[in-house]
Parts: sequence; C-alpha cells; structure tokens
Amino acid sequence: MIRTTSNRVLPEAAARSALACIAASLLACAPGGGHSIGLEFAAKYQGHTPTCTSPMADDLEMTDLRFFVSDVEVGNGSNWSAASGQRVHLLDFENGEGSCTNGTPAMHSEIALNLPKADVSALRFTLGVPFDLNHGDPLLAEPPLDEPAMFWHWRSGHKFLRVGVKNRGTRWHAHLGSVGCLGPIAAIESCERPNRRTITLTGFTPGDTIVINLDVLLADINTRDDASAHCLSEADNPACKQLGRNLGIDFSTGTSAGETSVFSLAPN
Amino acid sequence: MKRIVTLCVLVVLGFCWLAFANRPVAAPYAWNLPPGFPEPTVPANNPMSAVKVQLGRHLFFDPRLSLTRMISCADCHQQKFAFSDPRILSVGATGQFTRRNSMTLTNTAYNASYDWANPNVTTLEHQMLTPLFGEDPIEMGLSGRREIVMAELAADPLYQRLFPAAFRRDDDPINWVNSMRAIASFSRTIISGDAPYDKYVRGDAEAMTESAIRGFELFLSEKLECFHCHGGFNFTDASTHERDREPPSVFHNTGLYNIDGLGAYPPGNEGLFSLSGKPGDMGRFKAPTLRNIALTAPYMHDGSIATLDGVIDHYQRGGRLVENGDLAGDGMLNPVKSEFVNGFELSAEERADLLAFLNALTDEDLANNPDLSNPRPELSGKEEIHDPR
Repeated sequence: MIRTTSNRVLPEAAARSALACIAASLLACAPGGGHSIGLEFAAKYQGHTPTCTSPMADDLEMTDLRFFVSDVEVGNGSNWSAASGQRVHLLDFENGEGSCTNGTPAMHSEIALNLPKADVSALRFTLGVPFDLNHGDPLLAEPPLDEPAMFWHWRSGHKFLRVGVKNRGTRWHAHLGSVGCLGPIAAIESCERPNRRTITLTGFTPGDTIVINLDVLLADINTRDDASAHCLSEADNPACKQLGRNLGIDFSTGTSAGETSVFSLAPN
Repeated sequence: MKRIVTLCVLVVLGFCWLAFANRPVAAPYAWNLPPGFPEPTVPANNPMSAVKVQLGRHLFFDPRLSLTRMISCADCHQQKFAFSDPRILSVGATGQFTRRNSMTLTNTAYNASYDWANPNVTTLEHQMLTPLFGEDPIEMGLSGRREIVMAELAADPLYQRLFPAAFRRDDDPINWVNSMRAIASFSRTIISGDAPYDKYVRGDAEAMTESAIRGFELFLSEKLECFHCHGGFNFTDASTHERDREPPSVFHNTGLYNIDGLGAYPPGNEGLFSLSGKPGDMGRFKAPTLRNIALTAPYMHDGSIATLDGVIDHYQRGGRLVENGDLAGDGMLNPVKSEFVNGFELSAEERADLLAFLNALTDEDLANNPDLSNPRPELSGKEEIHDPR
C-alpha cells in the first residue's frame, strides 16, 4: 500500500508524482521505496515436478495440491516487514486434468512480493488462512477465498492445504485446517485447534523459488494400504500424526511442534 | 409563522416522497402457513418471493446440478417420502454412499441448525454447500465445476427469464450464490401442517382415531418422555421461528451405540463430537421432526432402524444392544446417553396406540402437492449427456 505521510495539501507536482507512484505501484512501487518481484512456488517430488499428467513416481500420481499462504514477510531474521499487499494467497498446482479429479483449470504458483530497500535475507509466511479471514460467510467470500474446493463446510472454515495422491490406483488425501470451530457460520467464536504453521526460511535471496517438498510432506505416510485413513486434521488419526510430524504441527494441540523441511528455498 | 409551518410540512413530505417514491414496496411474501404456525426465520439477504421459489423449484429438480447430470436434490429428498430418501444411505453422483440417512425436508425452514449435528450451520443457504460441493463423500460433485454448470444454466431460456425476475437488483443474476438462495427459498416452502393430528387439534374430533388419541396422550406422558426432544408445533426441540428470541442448539445421544463401553459411536458418525471434539458430545445428534415420520423410513441418523416399530423397541429398552460385529456394545449403558432415554413398559395395545398417533402425523397433502413437484420431469430422463470435460 502507498502511504502519503502528510496531511498537508500536496503541491501539484508532488501530487502528480504521487499519482504516478500509485499507478506504478501496480507494477513495482513498494513500501519503503523498494520494489516488487514475483515470488515463485514450485512442487517437487524426488527432484521432479509432479503434475496432474506426469506421475510423481511409478504407480504414484498426484491428485491434488492446493494451499493457502498468508502474512508473507521478509526481513533479516530479527526485523520483519510485510511483503505482500494481499493477506492471503492460494497456491494451486493442479489443473483438473489427468489424475486430478474435482480440480479447476486455473493454476497459481506465483505471488507478488514487495521488497523493502533494507537487506533481505529471510522470508516467512503462515501456511493457512488467518483466523479473522478463515470463518467468513462462504457465500460472500472474495477471491482467493471463494474457491469451493477449499471451503471446509462441515468444519466452518477453509482447508489450508489439500493434497492427494493415487498410489497404485488407491486414492489418499489430506485436508489441513482449523478444527473444533464453534459458533454460527460467519460468527465463529474460536477454534479448539488452529493447526496453522509459520514457515521461516533463512538464507533467502530475492529471486529464490519456494519449494514444497512432497517427499517430506508425505514421508512415512502409508498412502497405499490404508487408504481409508485419509487425514482430515484429526488428533488421533495415524496418518495425521505422521503428517503433523512432517509439517511441524501437533494435531492434538493444533500448534506448531518441532522443525519442518516441507518448504525450502531453491536458488534461481 | 403559518408559512414556516407549511414549509416544514412540505419539506418533510418531500423527504418522505424521496425516501419511498422510487422504491417498489415489496409486498410481504404470502406464506400460506397452516393455522397457528409461526413465520419461519429468513436470512435478511435472501427475502422470499414467489418467483424465487419458482426458480428454486426448477433448480431443486434439475439434474444438471450434479457432476454426472444424473441426480438432482430431489433424488435424495423425494416428495413422496416427505422429501426424504427410503434408502438407508443415499448415493452420490459418483456412486459413493453418504455417511448418514437423508433428512426429511418437512418444515426445514424452521430448523435451528442443519445437518444431523452441526450447530454452526444455521441457514439452508450454507447447508447446501455440503451436498453441492462436498467431496468426502461426493454428493452432487460440483467442486471444480461451478463455472461449467453455471454456464450451462445461463444458456437455458427458462433460467434466463427466472434468474433476473428473482434477483432484480443484480446486474449478473445467474450465478451460483443466487442458485443456492433460490433453492433455499423453495425448500422453505416445504411446509407441512395438515395431518390428521392438525385437523384434530383444530377441532375436528373425527380426524384422529380413538387409538391415535390414546397414543397422543402416551406421547405426552412422563412415562414415555417423547415430547422432551420431539415437542412443540414441529415435534422437535431443534426448531426455531421468526419470533424465537434464542434459537435452540440441542443434540441428544439416544444410546444407539456403545462400542467401547465408554460411549463410542461408529467412526465417521460420532455426531456433535466430530465437530467439537468434546467427549461429552459423542453420539449427540439432532432430534428430527416427527411430522410425516411414517413416510421417512428408515430411521435414526444412520438409517439403522428399518421401521417405527423398531424405533419404539429401541426407546422402550432405553438404548440398543448391538450383540455382534465391529459395532457391538450396549447402548443402554452409554454414559453420554440422554437423561430422557430410560426405557419404559409398554403393552401391545399401547404400542399400537403410539403407532396410530405417529401415523396421524402424516400429511398426505405434502407428498402430493403439485406446487412442490418436479416442474420439468423431462430433464430427469437420466439419459447420458455429453460431459464437456
């Protein structure tokens, strides 16, 4: 967002340049006089980029991969500044083709990142939708929160992450999101277990790609023999327990627990 | 002075004219409610209108609102079964079974909350997200197909006429939110209050048999305790209406299961517990209306009791004993069970009377009302239509 710092009436030239700045900000103008770049996300599995039409491995296909990222900040590890004009972003790696049923044609792997003038060496974001945006009226939701596949109707919020695979024909999926949310829709009072995870990536150089490592995300989850054990963010579900260890979330408390390498940086 | 007063009056009148003259004064919707029924609560952003109800009726019966274009809302909410499903579990567009028995839409406008056990869902508009877009299980299967379906509906001349008429203020009225609003408006007209019981309480002493009248007294007795959860004009404690100051949020465990001796219900069907995670909410479900109950078999949240006789057996024992299999356990001993499910003595004659009363809650007009029937049966021909994907 552009801020004019004074209440005084601006001279015409200054006003004109402010207008120019506002116009330019659509492309590049950022707070603190920095600039805007694209922040690319990529999905990887064993070094390859899985898609709906190219298998992850023999007999292992991706059926879905969508997640919300919010409150993106950049800094040097101790000082942080907001790095996105938009609070929530939907990252979407499926296009509804091939093994991805129930998908949508649109994909989305890049978000606009505002860089301050100060040195940036770290980036952090929340995997999930902030509480105050997570429980609005789904009928009145604005993009990117209006995608029905990311609604979590019965839990009165949004899925933060949905990932699915087909392992030798057997489908398995996981939905991450806040649970135990009580109150009328659009007026949810609280959630028992928020299940959000802050991801901090140090050693970030603008231009780096954020990789979601499906090897790590799905590590040690039996997606083939026990397909009935889909994980819907339950505390006592074995698949969730392992997914929680992989993501650094304790599903029994809904809070962060330990480190996670699900997200990492890849140099340009 | 006189002139100032006149001026003031003119100014006030002028403001009044400005405020009202250009607004079409919407006539209040004519509910045509049964005598004594309160007006249902309607969301402020979706007022009722006759044309919206008509639009919703067409959409309710339109199979193009499903992934395969083979099923509509009406497949799992069939009019002749009081808008319920005679199957134990319903089958979604792709063949997946629902987890629970389809609820009757009888008097659904009065529900304080929707689904079997979700106090968060307080409007039909929101409830509909689950059957339309839910994926686990897939019901209508529209997740990811919203635009395709809306484009198809937008090409239908009937909808080109009905959507703008129903949503006059919208620049682009043919959209999925308006579709859901219209279906909700139609669903609110599925009102039932003309059963023999209703005629009896309105003064027609002949409308109920002697047996049914005795059954009514049993129903109201402290011995059977039915009315605690199935009380009020709609025979459920989960009803609300326009004049209700505090809508209820009540759910009951009736001792159908007790898998682990600690009260467990079958996984995936744990009632309010699934949402709240609180142990005391295990197996707690909404008490459905008993209106048209004779038409809405099978019974209970999971359709696990086939007949009303079987339901009476369950309550007479004070909980169900499942002797064998994965679900074995004595529901009578369920620690979360409602305080009103304690079992009772019931003679054969009393049972017949109670059944006669329950049958007297059947409103034949609802099951046969042409205003609630399929307006375009030709669309439900079940022929395979080309899938544009």
